Amino acid sequence: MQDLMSDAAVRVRWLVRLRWIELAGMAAMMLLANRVLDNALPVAWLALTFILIAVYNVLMWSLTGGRTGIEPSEARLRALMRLQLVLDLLALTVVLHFAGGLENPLSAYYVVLVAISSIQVPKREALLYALLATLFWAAMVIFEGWGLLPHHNLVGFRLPVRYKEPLHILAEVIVVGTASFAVAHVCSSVAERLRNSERQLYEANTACELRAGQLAEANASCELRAGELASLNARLRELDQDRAFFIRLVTHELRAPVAAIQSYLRLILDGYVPEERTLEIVTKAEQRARDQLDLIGDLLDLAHIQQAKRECVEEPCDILQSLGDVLDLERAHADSKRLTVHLDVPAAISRVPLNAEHVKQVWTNLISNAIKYTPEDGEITVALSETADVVRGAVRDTGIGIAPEEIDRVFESFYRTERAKAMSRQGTGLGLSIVAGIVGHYGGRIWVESTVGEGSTFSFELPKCPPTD
Amino acid sequence: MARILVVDDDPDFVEATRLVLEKAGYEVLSAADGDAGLRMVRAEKPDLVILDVIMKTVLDGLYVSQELANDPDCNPIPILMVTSIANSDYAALFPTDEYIHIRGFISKPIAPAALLERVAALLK
Repeated sequence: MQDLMSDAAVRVRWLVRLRWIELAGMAAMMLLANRVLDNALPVAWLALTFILIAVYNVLMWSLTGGRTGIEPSEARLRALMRLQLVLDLLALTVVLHFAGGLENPLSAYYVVLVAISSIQVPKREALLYALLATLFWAAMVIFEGWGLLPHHNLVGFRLPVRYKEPLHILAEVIVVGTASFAVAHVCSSVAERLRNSERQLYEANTACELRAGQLAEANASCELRAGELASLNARLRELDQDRAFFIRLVTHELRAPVAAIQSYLRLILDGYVPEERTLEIVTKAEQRARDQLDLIGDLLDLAHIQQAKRECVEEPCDILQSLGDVLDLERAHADSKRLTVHLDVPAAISRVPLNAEHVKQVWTNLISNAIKYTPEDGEITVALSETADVVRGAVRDTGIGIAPEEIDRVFESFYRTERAKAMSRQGTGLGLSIVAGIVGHYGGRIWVESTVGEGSTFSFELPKCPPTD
Repeated sequence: MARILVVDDDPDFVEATRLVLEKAGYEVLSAADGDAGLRMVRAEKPDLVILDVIMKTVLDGLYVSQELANDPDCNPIPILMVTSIANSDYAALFPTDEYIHIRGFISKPIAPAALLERVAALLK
C-alpha cells in the first residue's frame, strides 16, 4: 500500500499519526501535572485546546485523503504539510500558555517539533520553522511577562515572579532559539544527506534497470541479427545450390573466356606484351576462343534437352546403331592414344523412345570422356544389354578414376574433378550433366563406379518402348 | 619493389595480370585457388592480394578474405577483389565491401591503366 502512495502523502500521514501520540502524551502529562500540582492548571482551557487540536488533526487526516483514500495532488500535500508544521508550533505555544508559559519545562518540545519539520523540508525552510518556533515562544513569554497576556502560574512548582524577570525571559528565549536553530541545522543536514543517497540509489537503480533494458534490447537485436544472418546464410546456401548453375554460367563461365581474350588483346594493343611473347599470348587467346565455342555448343545441347518433349519423338531409336555411328567418329581419337576399344553388345536390341540426336549425345560424351581421361595404351569397354523393361549401357575405362569425395559431383554442371583438370585443361564441365539431363529427361537413370588410378564405369538405363501389338 | 599475389583459377587472367604488373615493375606471385592463396599469403606476406571471387566454389574468394581478416598477421594486407560479376545483374547477390574485409572491387576484363592506378593507390 505504502508503495502506491507518494512520498509527500506518506510524510503527511505520518505527521497526523504522530500528532495523535503527541496529543495523548501531552494530555496525559497535563493531567498528571494537574494532579501533582493540586489542580493548578486551567483544565477547561487546556481541554478546549486539546479538542481543537484533535479536530484539526481529524481535519488534516481527512484532507490528506485518509477518509476517501483518494490522494490529493503533490502540491496540495506539501502545502498541507507546511500548514501542519506551523499549526503544530502554534498549538504547542497555546498549550504552553495555558500550562504555565515560561514555567513549563515542556518548552523543550519546540525543539522536538523543529526536529520533526527539519526532516521533512529543505534546510532553508527548516531554519524558518526554527525562527518561527523562537518567535512564538518569545512572543508568548514576553507578552506574559509584560502583562499583555494572562499568566497561569504553576502553583507550587515555580514562584509567580520568575516569568516577569527580563533576564530569565531572555535566557529562555535564547535557549529555545539556539536549540531550535541547532537542531534544524543538524537534522536537515542529515536528512538531506539521506535523501541524496536515497536519490542516488534510486538513480543508480534506474540506470541499472535502464542498462538492463538496453542490454535486453541489444540482446534481442543481436538475436534478430543472428536470425537475419542465419536466414541470409540459408538464402546464400539456397542460391549456392539452386542458382549456382546460372550464377556460374552468366557471371563466370560465359564471361571468363571473353574477358581473358579481351584482356590479352588489350595488353597487346597497349604494348604490355613483349614482342617475343606476342605469338604465345595470341595462341592462348585463340585457345580460349575455342573453349568458348565448345561451351556454347554444350549449352545449346543442354537447352535443347530441356526444351525437348518426350511426346515429340517420332521414331524410336536403335541405340546399337547409334553406338556404331559414334564409335566410327571417335575411333581416330582413340587410336591416337593407342587405346583398345572392346565391344560387349548383343546382335540386336530393343529400341528406345528417344530422340536419335540425344542417344548419340549420350554415347559421344561418355566415350569421348573415356578416351580423354584414359592414359595411352589403356582399354575402353562399351557394353549394352537389356532386361524386360530397360536397356542398359555402360562405358568402362582404365583411366584416372574419380576420388570418392568427388564422385557425387561429377554430374553437376561445370564441375570437373581435380584429376580431370590436371590431365586436361580443356573441358566445360558440362558433358556429364548433359548426359544426366538426357537420361533423366526420358525417365532413365545414370550412375558411376570408380577407383582412383584404375578406372571408371559409367552406366545408364533407359526405358524400352512399350511392346506394340 | 612491392610484391603482389594474384589468386585466380583462370591461368589466362593470372598471365594477363602478371604482364601488366611486371611491366610496371612489381614482383608477382600467383595461386590457383583459395586454399593455395591462403597458404601463400601466410608464407610470403605480400604487400597486396588481388583475389578472384568465384574459384573452386562460388564464394571461395570471400572465404579467403574472411580468413585473412581473422588472421592478425595478414589482416593489414590490402585485398583487391576481382570479379566478372560487378557490373552484372547478379552483383546484388554478393555482399558489398561494407561487410567484407576488402579494399575494393575491380571487374574483369581488366583495363591495364585502371588496374595499375588501383594497385598504386592501395600500396601507398
